[in-house]
Amino acid sequence: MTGFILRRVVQLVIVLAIVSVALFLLLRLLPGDPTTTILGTEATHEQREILRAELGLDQPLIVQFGQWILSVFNGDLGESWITGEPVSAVMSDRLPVTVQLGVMSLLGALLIGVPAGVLAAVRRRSTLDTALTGAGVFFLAIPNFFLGPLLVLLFALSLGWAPPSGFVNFTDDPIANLIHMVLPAVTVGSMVVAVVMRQARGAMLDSLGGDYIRTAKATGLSRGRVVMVYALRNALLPVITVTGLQVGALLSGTIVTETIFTLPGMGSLIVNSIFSRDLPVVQGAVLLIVVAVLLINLVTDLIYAWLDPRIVYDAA
Amino acid sequence: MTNTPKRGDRRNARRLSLAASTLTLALFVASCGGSEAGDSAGTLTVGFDNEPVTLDPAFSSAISSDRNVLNMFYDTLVRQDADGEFVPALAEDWEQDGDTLRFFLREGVTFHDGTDFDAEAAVANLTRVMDPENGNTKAAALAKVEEVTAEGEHILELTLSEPDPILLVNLAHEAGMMASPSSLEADSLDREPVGTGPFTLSSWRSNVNLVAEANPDYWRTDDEGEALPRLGQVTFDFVTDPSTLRANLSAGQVDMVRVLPPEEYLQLEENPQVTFEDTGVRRSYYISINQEEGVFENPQAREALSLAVDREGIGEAAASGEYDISPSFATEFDWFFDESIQVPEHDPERAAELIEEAGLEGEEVSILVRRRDPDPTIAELVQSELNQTGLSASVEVLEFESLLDQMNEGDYDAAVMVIDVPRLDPSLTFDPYLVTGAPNNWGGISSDELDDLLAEGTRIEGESERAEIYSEVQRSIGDNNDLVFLHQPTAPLIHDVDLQGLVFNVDGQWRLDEAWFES
Repeated sequence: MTGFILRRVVQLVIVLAIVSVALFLLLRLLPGDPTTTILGTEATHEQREILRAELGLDQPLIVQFGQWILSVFNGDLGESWITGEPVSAVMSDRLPVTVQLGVMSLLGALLIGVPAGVLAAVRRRSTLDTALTGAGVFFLAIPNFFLGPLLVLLFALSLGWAPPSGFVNFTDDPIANLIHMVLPAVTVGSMVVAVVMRQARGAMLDSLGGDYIRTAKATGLSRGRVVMVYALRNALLPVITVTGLQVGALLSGTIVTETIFTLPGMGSLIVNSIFSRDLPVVQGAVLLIVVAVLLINLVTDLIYAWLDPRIVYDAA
Repeated sequence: MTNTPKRGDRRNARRLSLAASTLTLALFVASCGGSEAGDSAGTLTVGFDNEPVTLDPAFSSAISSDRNVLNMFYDTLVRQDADGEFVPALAEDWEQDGDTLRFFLREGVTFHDGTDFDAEAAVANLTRVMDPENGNTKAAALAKVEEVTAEGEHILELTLSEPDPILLVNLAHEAGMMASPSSLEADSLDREPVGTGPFTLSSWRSNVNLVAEANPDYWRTDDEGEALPRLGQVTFDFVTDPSTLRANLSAGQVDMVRVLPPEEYLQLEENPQVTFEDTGVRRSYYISINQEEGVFENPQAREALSLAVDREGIGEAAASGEYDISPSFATEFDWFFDESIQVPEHDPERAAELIEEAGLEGEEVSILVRRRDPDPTIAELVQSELNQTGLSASVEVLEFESLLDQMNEGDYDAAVMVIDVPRLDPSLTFDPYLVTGAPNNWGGISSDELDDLLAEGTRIEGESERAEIYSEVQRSIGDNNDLVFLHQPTAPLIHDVDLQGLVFNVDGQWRLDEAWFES
């Protein structure tokens, strides 16, 4: 196991190195000039030059990259070009919002998706199965940027049950915080819930057809125990796999959703920073997300072994 | 008690059928409003689309919108009211003696950090703005000030190198905003404004919001001698998407929105809790033309463009009919507006003839436009009108930064652009776009006649003399089709009907020190 984790960490470092080079260079290919955001369009050439020198933009690209990567290794992600705040401070302000949004939508997706999938599998070919599968296809097909405004129109503007956008800190007012987060979480979670449900249904059908289930039934175990313990535990493995894979999709969903609901999370931070050419912030935020996705995939692999003792990572 | 300017009233009466006269019950809205923003407690929430990059007035870059926020924290020596008159602020009185301008400063005023405001503090502020080496964006505003000295604890003296008709205008706005000398030294104003203004900064999260609390020691009082400000707290919610802003206003999450495009604000017309105040602000759409190379190097082609565009049609389609037509960046309320100058009649036949005479049929023309509604629609309308003249036009929709990049490199034929007008002075409106080599003169306009006129406009004093010069300027750009002016959509300030006491600047930007909620 230790060897496995070590290998994965080495992989992680290599991926990060490639990502940071690509990220740095790709962002430099963007047309536009950060001094326009800061000084406006009517600034003189001299004013721009003074600012460029202050930001270090008058240095050759390779020097800029070297300075950035060196400070990253020292745990310093640099400062925002626009606001002058440390990138790490900006991110620690924004990260909790995205984590909360991600956790709420993922938990919601699992709590609804798994039981719904199990129910659909147990009641296979019933009206309920058809309805659940239909709903799943619907949520799979509807994109975030459409579902979000739709929910705002219905629940915020027509019914007035939730605010159309905005955010309140959990520590300031937990109830208001949750109310603000419901619609965004539903928006992000909708796609994941559909994937989880379909996967759960399929996996359950597989395991319900297995010989050991027939045996379990034959020994006189209750139907509930057969389904919930014998079939479900085996069916969970593929569900965990997809859920792990969905985390990446989930994060990209939060980018769109945070922008729609003006939530101050990592997603809206990246979008705003790209538009204002605040590249140090974009670099820091994207790096953090890449690390998060890689770590979550690692954790997913480890959960396999825990759920299914037959999986062994280190060759004997 | 009303602080709405007289001109504002006239504008209201003139145009806004939108106004609150026909209030009926709204279909939905206003349900979860009010209470959330805590109106009765004197808390105002503003939906603001144009977040300042910095709260250091000397480095402010938005032409005017930053001032809505900066006015919260800073005062100036003099204020300019909505009619353009100068009234005392941090200076109780002032006198001009040849090339010397002397200000008698108010005593007993303190900065938010407790230090006294005096002549030394004013000198420190103005000297910093006058220094082009530090890269500040306001240096040009004080370019004709040779020296600033403290002639006593509360007497400030400015020595001018030559007469400057807009020095007081500049001193009444960003270039003249006074910050605490210790924060100037610490160079920390960009995130921590320390002025003498009616509010103090409580918190600022970029792209999220800014919260300001009333300054309990504010020096100003209202006409009855009551303490100002009246609001206890002001929050700016930074939201850029117009439909989100409109939804937040509907739901009562915000009490005021700086600006919305007509297709959004017209949806609020039936909302009894919302009112529209025409502050005279217009979004002036124009076409920047590359006259250094390509088809529009030919003056006949530029004339054809000006004749081909159907300004009324574009206004109806892209501004839902809520627009004015003006032959330049001037609005009809401006003192330099000249009724005798008119945009040319829409004449597609003549335009086609001109293109034919110039032998340009079938020539390709690219029209750049920013990816932000309704701008691409406008560009498409211009495209179809140009195609009817025999040219072969295409539209390229770009993100703003990319658009500017291409224009700065001269890599375009025409571009549909927009600026907010009026600005504080015609020189601030025209010079950046028309002077040879100026930053926003992307198309390469270069005319000695124009340069001389514009220089003269910043030299001579007297409104009527200057108005004549700016008439000449507007006539010249119309005759040469240096820029083609389209329509000017109205951009009313939209706010809760209970919000009273907004005070406006000459360019329609607002102050909140006298604002309050009627309950």
